[in-house]
Amino acid sequence: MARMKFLCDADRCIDCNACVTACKNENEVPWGINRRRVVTINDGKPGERSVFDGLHGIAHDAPCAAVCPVKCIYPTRDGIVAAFEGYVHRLRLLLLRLSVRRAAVPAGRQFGSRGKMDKCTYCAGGGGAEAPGSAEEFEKYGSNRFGEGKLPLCAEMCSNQVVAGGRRRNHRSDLQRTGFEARLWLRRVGLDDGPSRGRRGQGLSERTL
Amino acid sequence: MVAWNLPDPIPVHREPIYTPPRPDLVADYPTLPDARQFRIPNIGFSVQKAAVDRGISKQFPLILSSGRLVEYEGGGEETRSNKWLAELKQHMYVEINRRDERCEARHQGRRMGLGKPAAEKSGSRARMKALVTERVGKGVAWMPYHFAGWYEGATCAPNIRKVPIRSCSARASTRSRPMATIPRPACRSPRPTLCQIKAA
Repeated sequence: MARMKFLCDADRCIDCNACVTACKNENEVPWGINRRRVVTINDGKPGERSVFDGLHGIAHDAPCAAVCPVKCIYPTRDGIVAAFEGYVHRLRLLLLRLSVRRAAVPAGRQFGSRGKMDKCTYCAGGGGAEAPGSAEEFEKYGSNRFGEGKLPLCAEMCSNQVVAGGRRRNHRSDLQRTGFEARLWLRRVGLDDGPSRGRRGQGLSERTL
Repeated sequence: MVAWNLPDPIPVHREPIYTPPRPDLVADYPTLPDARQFRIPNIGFSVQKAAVDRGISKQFPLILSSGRLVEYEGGGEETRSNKWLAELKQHMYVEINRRDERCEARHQGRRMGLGKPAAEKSGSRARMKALVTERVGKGVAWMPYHFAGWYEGATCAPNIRKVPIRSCSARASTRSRPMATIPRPACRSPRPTLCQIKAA
């Protein structure tokens, strides 16, 4: 089973926000809610750089999945952190029962564009009972490009190859390459790769990325 | 290459109509003489001379430049009407240096009034937000040229059939520019000028 990955190289980012726009258009994320953001730190100073927020469709040991009491956020076998709306409702009820403030998961508010919550899905739709690619699935989770054999649109859209998506490859030389060379190489192969359920992922460690 | 049919067959440097306090530069590199180009009277030379004589740069100490934001293009009519793009930059702003004492009240996000030499008597100012950084040098202010929708202190929204994203309207940057024209195409050459910035 391949593990899907986002690779980000903030040194190359020109802050064009194409990924943000592409994500919003693809998944119909409304005004004020972002699955994906580019944040400029040290704006206007030497050492200014852009950092990314919201690539939470992919994570190694995702903390949100770890803490979710009802497992509505959970890692899939592809390494994608999926969300299941049906459980989110249970989470809300649970929070209410525990006298946690209602604002924790407000429906129709900041995180509630799709009813209860919204997150990056790696453009892989949702983990519910809806048919992949169906209108019901789109309404709840957004686009399911992954099911069509496509990568997330933010990664596909990035003209400067800052964000790359793809599967982590099994290659012995991965382990020998480090730093920038490895990133370049992985970006190249990552861009060429569609989602695949091919081999076992045993590649570059998180640290060297 | 020699452009034989232009006033300057080979481009030469000419000082802007409103220039920083360097009268020697204006003497060496004046703009083209006054003339009538097609239907447009170009009085750049007179305006430039009068500005230097009156020492306009004391009152308007900042160089004003403008440029393009990467999200928007041109006057921004199409790109600001796109809700995904409009969300990214919602306000007209002027970028000023953090340590520039020629700007009043340099607070991030504060509403500023930008005055232009042509409106010296009326004292009218364009209202916009302040972006305080170290990206622009001292003595320079910068603003994007994609915003429009306000004219002479009033919104143009009633005159527009459909205003898609109202929050993104602002006074157009060209309104803070001198009425300078490039002679041959007789179109405006509004890029470099002077301004003053005060807290609104």
